[in-house]
This record gives sequence, structure tokens and C-alpha cells, in this order.
Amino acid sequence: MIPPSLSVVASTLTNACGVGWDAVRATLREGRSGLRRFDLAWAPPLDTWIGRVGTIEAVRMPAGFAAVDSRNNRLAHLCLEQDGFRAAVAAAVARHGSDRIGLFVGTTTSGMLSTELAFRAWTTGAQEPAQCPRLARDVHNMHATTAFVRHRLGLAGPAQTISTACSSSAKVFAAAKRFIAAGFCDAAVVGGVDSLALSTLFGFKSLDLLSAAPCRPFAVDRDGISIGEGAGFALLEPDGGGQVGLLGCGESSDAWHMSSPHPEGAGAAAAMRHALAAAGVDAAAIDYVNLHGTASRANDVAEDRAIRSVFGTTTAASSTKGFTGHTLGAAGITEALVTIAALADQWIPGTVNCASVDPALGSTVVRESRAQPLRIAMSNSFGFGGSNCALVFGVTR
Amino acid sequence: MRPLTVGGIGVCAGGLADWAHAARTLLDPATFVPGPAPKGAPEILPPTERRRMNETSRLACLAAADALTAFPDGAAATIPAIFVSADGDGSVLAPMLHALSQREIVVSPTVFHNSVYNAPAGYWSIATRSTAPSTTICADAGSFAAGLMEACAQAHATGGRVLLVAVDAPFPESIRVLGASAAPFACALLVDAGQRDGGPRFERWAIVDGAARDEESTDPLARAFAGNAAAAALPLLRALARGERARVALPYLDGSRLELEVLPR
Repeated sequence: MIPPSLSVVASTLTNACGVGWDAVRATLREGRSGLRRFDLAWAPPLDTWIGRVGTIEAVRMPAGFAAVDSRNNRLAHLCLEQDGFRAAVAAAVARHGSDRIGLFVGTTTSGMLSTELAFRAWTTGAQEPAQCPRLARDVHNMHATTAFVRHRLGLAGPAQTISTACSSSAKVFAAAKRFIAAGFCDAAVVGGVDSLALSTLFGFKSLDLLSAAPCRPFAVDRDGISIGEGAGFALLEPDGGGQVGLLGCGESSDAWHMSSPHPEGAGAAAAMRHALAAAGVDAAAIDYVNLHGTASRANDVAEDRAIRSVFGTTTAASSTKGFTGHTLGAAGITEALVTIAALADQWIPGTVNCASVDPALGSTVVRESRAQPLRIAMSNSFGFGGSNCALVFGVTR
Repeated sequence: MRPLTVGGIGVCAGGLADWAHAARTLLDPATFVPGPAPKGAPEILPPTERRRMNETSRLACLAAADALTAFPDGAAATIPAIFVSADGDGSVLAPMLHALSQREIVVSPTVFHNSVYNAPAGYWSIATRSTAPSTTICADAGSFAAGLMEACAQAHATGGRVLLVAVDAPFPESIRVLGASAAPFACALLVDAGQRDGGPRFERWAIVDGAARDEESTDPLARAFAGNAAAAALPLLRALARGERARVALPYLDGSRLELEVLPR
């Protein structure tokens, strides 16, 4: 008997694997990585690979939103237009009222790229001052993309942006669950949007965490991450009749270091245990774990230890970061939705680019996508500042 | 919406050393003397972290510690924390933008890890050895009200205590347009879904259309902290300082406001 849950009524996903569910699903199924060699015209060269959404440059903001044009908002807009998502939200608005639907969006850089490029144009003198893009708070602010999504979807309920580094858009599920339980709203749109920016690309470079090749999660030769961009949204309703539901969320803090995980993965393990307890299931009930699996040397070791302490060594696990890159503030929603798709389709996505699993790691890593009966699965997200979140989803009908 | 009990209050702001000082000043605003925020960093942090921490993390941790002064050492280790900021940290953003605007980009690792929006939450958890969950929220000018709603939702989800910390601070001149705070302001509220310590209560919450009324421009505190979204808490803090029943309005999203009743202990 599976406990009551929040039903995933509709969803949409866009990243380097494709625009919308059909394209993303096909890429995951075929085991094709969406990564490409760094090719950003607006950035100085960097010896790394990225998960870029190829069509963002051609996207135009919808009428009335030109003033908040940014790479992040274009990505949000592109994503919202896919998979009938806006229509599904409109139907939910008709059912509940626009003021009864909450909005919870994760991001780490919001529209910051616009600020970075404006600053760069000024200081490098590449453009005359009059032609330089201007700094705009409405574009830069951490809440800017959430505000755009709220207006675009016509929502008037509670809304917040969660920015906890790479766990941001996993934690949106926990916040939505609490807000519905507290009676602040009856349904929720959750999501994450994070686009490529100089600060994250060169910031991770400063920590020597970028791989010069496509990232290889849990592989013996892994040597760093590939940064990606992406967006995803889900509509959650209690008893909403969806095929898959959110069963439980677990959150914890490492209390260890700002940018390194606890070496034993203690915080990560605590988040997984909390999620299992919240879902009312034990570790043996989990058929598949979508790993955070960034492909950094230290992160994968810490997560592997956490997985082993909670699950032992036999639970099937994979990281999909080799497909999408690490989409940072969008990683939580991206991998939650991949986990939901795995449950809906009864299949496990592989760990693309991982040719040989590190023998020092003890988890059962699924390298090649394969069909498998699944009932309950977990998705892990861990971020800087020691912010951990694990989500448990299950087939509910 | 459900009631909350207030179990602790903290402040760290320009010209306001702590909650005791802020409470006296809120009762007699004419005594307010604008000035810098208190110096130093929480002693509970390891020296390396104290050296590395950014300004909003420092202010937030001092306000959070102030809210917990009545609690024994170690109490914070099990209390979930919510951090809110409308603008983030301009003192980290400015050197980041400077580095990114160079022909050859070299970012300082410390600047990068301090640039995450949840840096205050990270430093607080390290300082207090708290493995309890934390979250970091932005809702633009409505950030404080959004944090209060999150605190209410969390407290009622767990039936226990939650620490809410709000912080915003002025941005350097070159990027002033991105962060409008006139002076630094951080405050913290320890709230509880139960009534175990019989503190003041928040009740009868409602989101209402129409902007929260601006504080009277004659109020020296409202003027001193103009544009600081964390200082949107001032009307709530004033009601708590006065210990009188009051209906308070806090700015929320798109010209709406969060109204709630403050009941004295």
C-alpha cells in the first residue's frame, strides 16, 4: 500500500537533450549525451564541455515581456511552451482559482548573465557607453524568473524563489508540499530554471572542478563536471490522478564546508533517510536512485558512501548528468522529472559517458539505459553550503 | 492560516546593535542614531570561516545568534533555518563582476563559494554544527513576508521551532541599481507552532490585494532603512517591542500585502 501523495499532474522538461519531453526522452533512451565542446560566442574560451540548449539565442520573449528579456527567462519561456504545460496550468487555475496555486522555482543565477555581459561590455570598452546594455534589477534579481513565470502563467497565489545552489529545484517539492499542507494553496507549480553564466562557468573553473572532456559520473577516470543549462516544471495536486506522485521529501545540512561535501556523505545520507521516513517506506522499497552524481572526484565518493550506508550495495542507481550536464539550480527538477519518467515508463536511464565504474565505489551503477519494473524511486540533489535534498516518487495508479 | 508563537528575536543593523537596543529604539525612534552595523563575526565560527565569510552572512549570523541568546549553547544545532534576502550580497557580486569583466577571467574560489545565495545558511550551519534542514528564499520586495509564510508552513509541518533570518545590505556604488538598501539590516525570529514558552503570537494571516502602506516618512528608522527588504520587518518588530495587540501589513508580491495580527504574550 503506497501512502497518499501529491500527484504529478503535468510536467515539461528542456535541456541539452532536447526541447520538451519527446526530445528529452528519445535522447535518454538512445543513450546519447547532449554535451558539446564549449562554444559560447559571448564568453572567453574555456577548455570544457557544456550542456547548452541550442535554440535559446533564437527564442523571443512573448508580447509584454520584452523588458525582462534574459537568457534565463527565454529558457523558462521556451520550456513553458512545451508539452501542453501552460494549458494544464490554465485548467488548474479554472479548478482552483489563480490565487490558490502556489509557485516555487529554483535557480542559482537567475538573470545574472545579463549583468555580467553588461559589466564586461563596459569595462573592456568593447562598446561605446551609449550602446552598452544597462544593469536592470528586474532582470538580475534572484526572483526575476519566478516573477516572469508567475505573470506568464497568470498565477496569483504564494510564490517564492529557492536558491540553495544545486539543491534549489529539488527543494521546491518540499516547499510546495508544506504550503499545501499549511493551507496556503491547494495546488502548486514547481520548477527550476538555470542558464549558462560566466560566474558559474569560471567559478567552477576556479575550484578546478571542470572536466576538459564530457563528464563521466561514477567512472574510474572521472575528473570533474560539465556545466549545463535547463528548465523544468511540474504541476502538483493532492489526489490529482497523475500516474506518479511525490511520496516524501528529506532535507538536511552538512554543517561541514561551504564548497566540499562531508567526506562520509553524512548529510546526504540523512536527507535520504528523512525522505524515506516521510514517504513511509524503508530503503528496500526503493527500486532506483537517480544520483546527484556530478562526476567530481570528491562528490561521487561522498554520495557513494551515503548510498551504501542507507541502501547497501544492490540498489540500482544512475547519474544522468552525462546527458544534460550539471544544470545547477535546475538539476533538482531535471532529475526529479527524469525519475518520474522512469517510473512512468518502467525504465532506468543509464549513466552515459561512464565507460568503467570506479571499483572504489560500491553502488550498483546502471551504465546503459534499460527496461525494468519500478514502483518507487529516489532522486538526490546536493549543493554548496551543504544543502541536501532527497525526493521519493512512486507509481500511484 | 495557523498561529505562530515567537520564542526569540534578533537584530543586527546599521545603528542597532541587537534586539534589546532595537526594541528601545522602536519605542522611542527619536533616539535612533544612524551608524555602521556591529563589527565582528560570531565567535562560534572557526577562525578560517570567520575570515572568509561575506558581509550578509556575517550580519545574518549575528542576528540569528541574538535571537537565540535565551537558549542554551547548542540549541541551534537542531533548529531548521530559513534565510531570506531580496538582493543577495553586493559586496560579493561586485568583485565577481569585476573578475568576469577582465580579458582573462580569474575568479577567486572564496568569492565564488560566497556568491551562492545560501552562503548565510551554509555559514550558520557550520557555526552551529546544525544538520537540520535550511532553505534560502527570495521573493523580491516581498522576501520577508515570503519567509514568514515559509516559517509558518515549516513550523506546522514539524510541530516545532523554526528560525527565520532576513538580511539585506547596501550594494557598492558601481552596482547600486541592483540593490537598493540604504543601510544594512538583518533580523531573526524564532517561531514555534506550539505555545510552550507563551511568547507573543502571530494570528489571522491573510494575503490581501493592495500594497502595504509606506511607513511614515517622519519615522527615522523607516527612512534610515529605505529600500531594504529585510527592514520590511520593522512594523512587526515595533508591534513586538510595544507588546500591544496590533494588525501589521508586510509587503508581498505584485502590490499585495501579508496581513497578520500580533498578540502580546
